[in-house]
Amino acid sequence: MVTVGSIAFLTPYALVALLAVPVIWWLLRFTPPRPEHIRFPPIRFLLGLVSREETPHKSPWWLTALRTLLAIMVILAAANPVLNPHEAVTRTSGPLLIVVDDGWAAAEDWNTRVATLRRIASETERTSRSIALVTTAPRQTPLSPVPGPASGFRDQIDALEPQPFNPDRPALATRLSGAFAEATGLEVVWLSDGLDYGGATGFSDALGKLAGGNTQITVLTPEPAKTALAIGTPKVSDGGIEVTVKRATGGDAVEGRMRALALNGRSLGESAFTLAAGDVEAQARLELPVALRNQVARLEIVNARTAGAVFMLDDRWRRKTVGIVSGEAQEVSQPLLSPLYYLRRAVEPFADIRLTVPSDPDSGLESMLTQGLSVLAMADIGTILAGEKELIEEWVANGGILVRFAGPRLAGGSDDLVPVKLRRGGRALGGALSWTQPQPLAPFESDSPFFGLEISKDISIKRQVLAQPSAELAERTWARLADGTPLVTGAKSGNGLIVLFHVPANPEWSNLPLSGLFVEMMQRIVDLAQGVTQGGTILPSASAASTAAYTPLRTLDGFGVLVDPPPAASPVPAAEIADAIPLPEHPPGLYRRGGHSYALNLAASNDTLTPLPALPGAVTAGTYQTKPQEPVRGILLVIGIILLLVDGLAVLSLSGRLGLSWSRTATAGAVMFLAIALCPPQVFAQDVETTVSAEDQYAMRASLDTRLGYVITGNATVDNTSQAGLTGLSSMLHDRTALEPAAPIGINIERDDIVFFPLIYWPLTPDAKAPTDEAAAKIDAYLKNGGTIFFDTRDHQISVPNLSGGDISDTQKALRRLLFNLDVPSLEVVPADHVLTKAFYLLQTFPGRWAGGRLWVEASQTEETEQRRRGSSNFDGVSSIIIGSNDYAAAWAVDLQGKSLYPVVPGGQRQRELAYRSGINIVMYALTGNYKADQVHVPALLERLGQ
Amino acid sequence: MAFWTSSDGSDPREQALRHRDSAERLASAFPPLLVEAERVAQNISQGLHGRRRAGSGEAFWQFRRYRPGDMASTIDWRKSARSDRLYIRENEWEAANTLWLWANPSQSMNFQSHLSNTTKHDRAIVLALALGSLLVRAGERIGAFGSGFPASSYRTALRRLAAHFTEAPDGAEETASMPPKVTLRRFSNIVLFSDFLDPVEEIGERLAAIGSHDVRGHLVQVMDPAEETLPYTGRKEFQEMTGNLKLTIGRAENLRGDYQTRVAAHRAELRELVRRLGWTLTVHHTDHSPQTALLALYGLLSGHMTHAAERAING
Repeated sequence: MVTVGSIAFLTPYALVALLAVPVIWWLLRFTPPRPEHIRFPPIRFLLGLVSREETPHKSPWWLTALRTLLAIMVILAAANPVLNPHEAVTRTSGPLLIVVDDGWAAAEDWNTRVATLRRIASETERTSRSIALVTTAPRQTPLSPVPGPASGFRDQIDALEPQPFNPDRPALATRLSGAFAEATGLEVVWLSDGLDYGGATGFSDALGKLAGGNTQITVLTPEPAKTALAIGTPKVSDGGIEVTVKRATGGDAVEGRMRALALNGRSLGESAFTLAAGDVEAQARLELPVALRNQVARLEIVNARTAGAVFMLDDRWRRKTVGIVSGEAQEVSQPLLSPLYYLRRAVEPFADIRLTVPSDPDSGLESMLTQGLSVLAMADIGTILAGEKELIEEWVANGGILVRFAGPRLAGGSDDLVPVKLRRGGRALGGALSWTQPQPLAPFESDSPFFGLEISKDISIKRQVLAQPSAELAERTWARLADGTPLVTGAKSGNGLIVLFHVPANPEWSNLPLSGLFVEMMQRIVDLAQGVTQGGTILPSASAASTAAYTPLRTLDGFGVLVDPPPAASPVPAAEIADAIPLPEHPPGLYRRGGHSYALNLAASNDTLTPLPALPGAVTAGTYQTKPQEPVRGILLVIGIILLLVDGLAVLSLSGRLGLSWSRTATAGAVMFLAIALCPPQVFAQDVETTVSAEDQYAMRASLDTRLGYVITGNATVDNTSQAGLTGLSSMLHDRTALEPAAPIGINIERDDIVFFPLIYWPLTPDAKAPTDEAAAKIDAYLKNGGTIFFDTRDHQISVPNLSGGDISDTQKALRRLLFNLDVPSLEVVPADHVLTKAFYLLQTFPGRWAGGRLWVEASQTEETEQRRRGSSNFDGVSSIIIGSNDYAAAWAVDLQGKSLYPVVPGGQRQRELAYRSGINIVMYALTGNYKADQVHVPALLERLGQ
Repeated sequence: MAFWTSSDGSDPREQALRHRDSAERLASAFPPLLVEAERVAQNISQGLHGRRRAGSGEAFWQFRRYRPGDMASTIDWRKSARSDRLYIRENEWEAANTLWLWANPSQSMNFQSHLSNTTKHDRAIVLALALGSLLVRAGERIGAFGSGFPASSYRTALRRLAAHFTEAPDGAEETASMPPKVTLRRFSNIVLFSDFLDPVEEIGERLAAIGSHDVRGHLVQVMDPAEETLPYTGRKEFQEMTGNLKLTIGRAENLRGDYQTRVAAHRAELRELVRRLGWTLTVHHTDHSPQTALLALYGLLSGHMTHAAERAING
């Protein structure tokens, strides 16, 4: 591989051919393009003229240059050049040791590492080199440094994943110390994450000492911009969460976002941070309301995708826990008098509440404290039991906040877990025997934790316990009455606080617990709490839960995603959890013991990030190639082809044929352009034509040939039968009569025009709908102007027809619905001498699929003139309505082969034949009218004429 | 079988058939051509068709009053007996003309440029055969000039003519671009189809040899349009049709003007030569329809010069 700039030639031997380029130039220079050869009879005429024209013996220089360039392109393409060549592996023989930093920092651009590894795999696959793959992050079972065949390398790559730990390079150095002892030379490729966790130099020295010191080490580091960011331990302050974002080297400015997530992954808030150029730290501040802040379970750098960029918040950061202990037993019976009720209501919005339930010994004060509390509120408990007092003192010393409320019992005598010494008894203001008035609150002083809260004037204190005057009283006073007597006092005790409200938490002595101020004061106090403080002393009698280890609940994987704990994760003893650092046995994640959760954070163990130092010795450094290796050969060949085309054009132009072909091309182009330009309007015109004539097409189709029509009922079976039946009848008419009807047409009675059909077959279904008024008018006009509709109720086998009323079938009801709007004349059963019986065949019955159903027609015209005036009968004396019930279409129906589709009942070829004859008679009757009726009179007429 | 299935037209007999067919198609648009024969003596030859004048022939032409000097044997007694006068029965003069056709068989005629659909040779043969067909239909005698066969007025003459024209190039000595040195009998007609690219002096000598005996001749100069205009551009190499003479020209379009001047000068010389001989010259280009040339020849030979023919003659 020969590299020129960012281009490398994979087959550099082909470049030798470039030496031949001058020869090619020389050859091309003296080989002009062959002229076109023409045999020309009148050459004699040219003889004298030619001498004036000089014949060039050389090619024009530009043509030669063009062709030489073409040759160069082909030679370069043959050398197989690639852009962004990758050269992780330099040697071609000897064992290869690949060290991968698979700690959390590598997860940032893990794909690059995998791609690099794959590339190494593809480069070494065809060699006989032995490869060992080792990783630096601690693992339960580390990879073996014994080199294996190159063929198994890919499987090892696929099994690699970043680990949520800090790499432990010294441990790897120890493991490697014995390996490669007998190898004479070793090539080491170290895919580092660019960070030094201590001992990077020592590690590279250790690598250098492998294989008797004959090692060649290549270290790949990510570009500074790609080095992982880490998150620091967040601090909660002033209603916000402050997080430090760290990086190893101060490179270019980086902008990012910090996101707070709830336990279920819901985003609670985001804030931007900017790592200025050169800075290695930046602060991100998430402003969140208390209620939301308490829900924050995780902080992460958006899109960082590393375990180091995730910080999990456990109970210490989360919602404070307030335990409430009351000395009274009346909570249940009279809740509104209980201080418990008011405390609960005041604390509920921003803290978890733990209550002591007297009946449950486990929920007692002791268990509450061992599980951890932020604030312990005690309502009017005069004297705490000695055992409990010891617990509470310990807890307060650890940082707990004890809030006590005065009351009759406290006034009766208190222990020493109070901020100030109290006088026995209380002070009543505004009693019946007192001159004093109930006192309002004085404004809070600036050093009070309550400073800034708004005081309502309605608050009045009627009774309180009084502190004994002392030197510290003033500074321990957090709130006082208007006359100066302390109302709330507080004192530090160890890491914690003891706060005393000199009034009870119920409205017995004052209306303070009823006010919003009380809620705000409680909130201020709870905000003072430093997370959750546990009881420091684990009593021998404590329950099993207190000694249990923290078990992993959810753990982070290398990419910073919370997953179920891996099998290797094991519980951490409670005593060791505070000092635990993430390791395969206890990966970073959420651990739980009883009701208490603990977050083991990887970020906490990285105070600062140190970049990988310059490594000494014969270590060659490189960066990961992120751009894909691009072969350039195709581009060169395309350029060569273009040059070839240009050369062809040049030769054409030299031989004078270009102009001719140009004009031809132009003509062809113009013709094509015209064709294209002219085509769309034509197509459009056709479209218009088709759309316009859609209705007309139907009309023409219906009228240009005589056709039978049938009404589409919407019932597919009935419609198909009608179509097939009329087709069969049409073919019978075609065979037997002078009528040659075309294929029948289905009619949408609502939409289509029906005037074109001499006879319409209308099969009835029980659910047939009455036609709309327009359709009814259309049908009426059709009937009155000579049309004939043949209704077929098709129900003879179901019920004996009884058109006169009474017990009628559904189909007949449908028929009634249909005919309701129409002007239907009186009907009668076809009489024996009706024209229908002799229109074509002589018939006495009209069977269809069923036999026996009678055929109804208009009553014969007894008073012809009157009938005509009424217009209910058309002028030929043809009945406009024929009603049958024998399911005629089914009897006529044939399939494509001309076979009958339905059997006739009771059956027999004779009935089928008669059905066809009935159909033919009906059609003939509709078409020829009373012609046959006149024929009846022929003998009489002849007789008259003959006389 | 091979004779009939040969489709590439290389078989001379098939070629002859093909040429004759196209010539017949061409000639079918014209009435039979009766060669004007004013200068033909009565005793040249007996023909089948009448000359629309009294003369020696079989068919009755007219009765004429006897004039002193008429031979007594010509008196039609039957007619004369009906009246007091003597009548002579005159028959129509029926005589056939002899017309010799020649098409240049040399390689030079095999030229076909991109501007034309056919070679000059093919066009010349088609014209000659079409003319022959017209003549035969009129009963004239036609013959292939220089073939050695006598002229004939039968359909077979046409077939023989076609065979001669298509086979002629095979003979080595026949490829000369000049008509053979055969002296025609007096009052013969000859039509020469060629490109006449040879020097005019040589052509003049040869024509003089042919036409020294009161022969009436028609030259049809069949030329390819490319020979007329030199439509080539750019770098071209020109070569003789048969010889090895080659010319490479860098820019052919530069020579076009001079070349056309030379062609025009050559034609002017040719026209002058023809004028001196009393013959005619018709110029025909192979990209034009053969009908125009045939029409011109028809006009010239029948003596009725039409305007269209005049245009065609002048090229």
